[in-house]
Amino acid sequence: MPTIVLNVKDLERLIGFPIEKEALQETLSSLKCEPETVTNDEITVEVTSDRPDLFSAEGIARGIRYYRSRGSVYDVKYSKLAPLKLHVEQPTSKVRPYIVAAAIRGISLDEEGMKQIMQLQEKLHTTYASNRKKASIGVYDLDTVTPDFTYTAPPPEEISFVPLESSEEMNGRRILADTQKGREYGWIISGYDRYPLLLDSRRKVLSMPPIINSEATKITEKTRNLLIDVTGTEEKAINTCLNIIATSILERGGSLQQVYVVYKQRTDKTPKLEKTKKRLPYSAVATVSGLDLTPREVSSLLSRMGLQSEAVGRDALEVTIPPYRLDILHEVDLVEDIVMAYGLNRMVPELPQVVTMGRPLTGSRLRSRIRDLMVGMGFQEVTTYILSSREVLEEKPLMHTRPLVEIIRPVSSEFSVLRDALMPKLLQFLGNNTHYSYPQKVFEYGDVVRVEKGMPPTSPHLSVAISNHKVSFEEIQAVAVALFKNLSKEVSFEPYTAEPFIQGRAAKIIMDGKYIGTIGEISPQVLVNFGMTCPVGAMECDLSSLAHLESLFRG
Amino acid sequence: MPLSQSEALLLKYLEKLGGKAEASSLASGLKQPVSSIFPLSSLLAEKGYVKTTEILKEKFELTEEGAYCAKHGMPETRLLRLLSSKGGTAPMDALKTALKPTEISAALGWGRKAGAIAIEKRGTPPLIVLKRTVNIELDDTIKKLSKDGEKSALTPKELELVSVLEERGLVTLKETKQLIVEMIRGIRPSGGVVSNVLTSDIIKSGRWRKTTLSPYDVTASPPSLKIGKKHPYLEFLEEVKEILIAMGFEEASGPYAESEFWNFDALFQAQDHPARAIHDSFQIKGVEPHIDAPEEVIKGVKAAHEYGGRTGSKGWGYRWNIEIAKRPILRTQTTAVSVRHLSTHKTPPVKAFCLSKNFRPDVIDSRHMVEFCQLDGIIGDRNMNVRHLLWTLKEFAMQLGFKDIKFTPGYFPFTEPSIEAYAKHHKLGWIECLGSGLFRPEVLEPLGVKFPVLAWAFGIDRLAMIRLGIDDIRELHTSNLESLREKGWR
Repeated sequence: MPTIVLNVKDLERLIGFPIEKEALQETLSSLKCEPETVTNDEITVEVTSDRPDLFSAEGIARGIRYYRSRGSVYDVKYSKLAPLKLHVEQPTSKVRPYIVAAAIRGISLDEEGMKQIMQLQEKLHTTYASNRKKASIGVYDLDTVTPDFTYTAPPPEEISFVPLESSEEMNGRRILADTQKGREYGWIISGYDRYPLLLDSRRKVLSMPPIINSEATKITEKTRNLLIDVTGTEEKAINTCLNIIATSILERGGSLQQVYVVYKQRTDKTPKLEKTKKRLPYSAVATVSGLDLTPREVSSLLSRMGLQSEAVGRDALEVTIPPYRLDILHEVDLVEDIVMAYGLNRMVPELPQVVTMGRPLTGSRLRSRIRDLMVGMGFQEVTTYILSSREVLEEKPLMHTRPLVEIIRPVSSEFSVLRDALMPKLLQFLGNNTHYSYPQKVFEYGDVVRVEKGMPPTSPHLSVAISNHKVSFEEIQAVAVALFKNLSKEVSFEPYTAEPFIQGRAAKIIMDGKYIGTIGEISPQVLVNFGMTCPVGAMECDLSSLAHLESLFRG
Repeated sequence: MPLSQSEALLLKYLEKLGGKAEASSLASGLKQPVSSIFPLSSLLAEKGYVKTTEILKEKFELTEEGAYCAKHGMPETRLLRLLSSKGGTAPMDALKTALKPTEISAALGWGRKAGAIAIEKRGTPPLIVLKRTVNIELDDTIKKLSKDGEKSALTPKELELVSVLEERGLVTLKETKQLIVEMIRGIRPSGGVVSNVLTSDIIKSGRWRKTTLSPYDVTASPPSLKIGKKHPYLEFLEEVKEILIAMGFEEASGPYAESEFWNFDALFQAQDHPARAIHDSFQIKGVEPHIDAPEEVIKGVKAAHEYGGRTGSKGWGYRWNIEIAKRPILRTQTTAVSVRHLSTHKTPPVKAFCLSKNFRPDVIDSRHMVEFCQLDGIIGDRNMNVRHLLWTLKEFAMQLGFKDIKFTPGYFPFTEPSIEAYAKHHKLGWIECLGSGLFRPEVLEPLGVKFPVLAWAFGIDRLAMIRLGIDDIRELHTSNLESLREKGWR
């Protein structure tokens, strides 16, 4: 979730009227802007990613103004000037095909205003623009350039301008190599033989999207007219970004001058800031929210969220959605706004009269019995991570390499596969505890995941281990026999030869003629691999076949 | 006055020694260090069973050299022994075999003075000749001192010899304090024989009738016991499950290795949603890409994403790609289990929960772990609305022992309205602990679910940490056996 830093004075100026500190915090919290830190001058809020219109002070102030003054009408103020022109040249289609633009006339930005525009750009880049790949925004002092504009893509060697915060001209490749932004975002275009470039009618460079603007066109506190462009690879994303940045800046004054974007096949007029309409039946409000509201109340709550509405017939409203509300997909999104305006903490909770049977997962009763029996035999339960490594599951216990569910890009090799056995995890556990008193008796009852065709099945396993200065096969075998005896199950043992056990001191556990697990004394090499100097007797069983013991009365 | 087991033992042994003994002899008899006899005796003295006297004792102790001579004989003894073994004469340099270089001149000087030897200097090396054997009293004296060096036990004649040894640096006089413990006559624990342990022999033989069982110090600490216990984290999860089952929820489960379809697409998370970026979920190999869902569900999800399908929604407006949906990953949210459950439980009412593991790439630290538990719950029935959701969340928070709950609007791609909640902990204050909402129509319609569904998710590990009083999430899966042994129920 993006965090936004707000200057309290700036915010109040944008809202248009003063608000008590506490009321401000409460309002912010009701508008999906959760205050994180609050000082006298600054508030940091966490906003939700569905509301890009709240990614800067301007949009947040607009929300607060509507919420506290109980509504108003949103309108875009257009400039009387004819739209500007921007020509798109063919070579851009391969590297970064789309561009939209807007101009804002008669604006004055102080330091905080410029800071907010930068913050908004950055937040849009990281959330909606895949770090500038899908969309990147440029803002320029319109008076430093001469329309019409051209969006083109020359070979990088032919590009030459002074990038932002530099003092010398560079070509395209040097900009990628020698500027900080070039190194940060160069990967987006470095694979192409032409780089995107935005020029004015005198071939003066505005920017090399999505990397960097030119020093000559940057905005200052003296700037009065702005040009904004968004280039990218996805039309939806660039329109979202332009729409949000234009509507936000307009909150600080000025008027909007549109731009004709002229492609070979078509011409677009941007930004497209049309209001849309959505029908909202009163019944949907009642059904979803559980609130019993009159049509007037619904309408008034909507207006507190900046949404105008008009009754259409007796059953529904038509809601006008302002262009910056990109999150409204369905009527339920409008109901959420009504609930927010009403206040969640004012709503009366109601007991859901839903009659159902509570029931634990099949296997829970068996699991509980087995855990009780193990505790009764003096074993400490442990719980290890399902994530493990081939080192623990294969190499250290000298067990053969086998297919495992494996993470392609693990955060750490220690957590890179799903375990398919518990015993190696218990040996690892015991290896971590050699400095504590013996005997050490531990068990784990948990899920393992085996690789089979289709989705890998999960099965419940039990592993038990005893470590002491002396441990015999009989000792761990007695545990197995006692455990199954207390489940009214007889088990038999068949000699078994495989690591991690000592040859001649291990067995398969057989129940009802089926092989359900292994038991034995761990071989010294394995003990050494796990850093142990005391012998260990251990067993592991797959308990899936015991599921029928769940039933209280069985044939 | 009751006696502790060790006090009674001491008293009994003292009686056996005749009612009076030195601390050192009590110590060796009871096989205990002298240092433990001192406090025991003073306790017994306080209780009035014994009196203790401290006396000063003078004692001769052997030096290192002295100890050597006590073991191997005095240098002169060794000289005479050597000469007689060589038939009465030996060259000077042969002395090295029996004497240390520092002892040679003293031994020769004594031998000539006593007339026991003569030195013939004519040859090189000079020869030593044995004249007569002399009984060497010093040998017996030093041996005696090595056994008991107490000054008061020596005769005047012996004392004379000891002073020679002292001069030669073989013994020194040391003063030591000794504690004499003496039973006060007439005062002894009531009854006949005092016994510490009640054995079956004592019972069978009837000896118990004449035996006083000595009292114990019942306030002393016993040895620590290592018992078998269930894991405290799992116990907490069981407690949470019990609450939910009592509230009428059925427990559900799903696979850890999941398709992106169930984990994201069915939850209306757009394929370019930031949470679906490759660094926010664990993609896995070793699993066949596959969607285990009916064809119409897959089609419905595709339509919902692209244009809203039959839900009246605009959808996300992009081309949905089934290949992305097929990608196998490790489940990142148990909400995947909730929608899987709904896809097979389409008749209301439905109440289910899943409390299980999820996996997300993260920098591992005290607050983040790549494997964590989450608790998801759903209630689906006709007429369910936000107020029912609020009631359920509040009731569950109260059942868990929180004092209050408050709500703020939130955002999740799969719920609308979306609500976050803070629970009030009596010490820690408001804790952000859950996300919730009503499943979006774009989630329900493709599954064929025709009634509203309330959904919520708890970050249960956070609550477990508070419950267990730990501040590092990794301690939930501690690899420290001792901390599990020590952990109490809190």
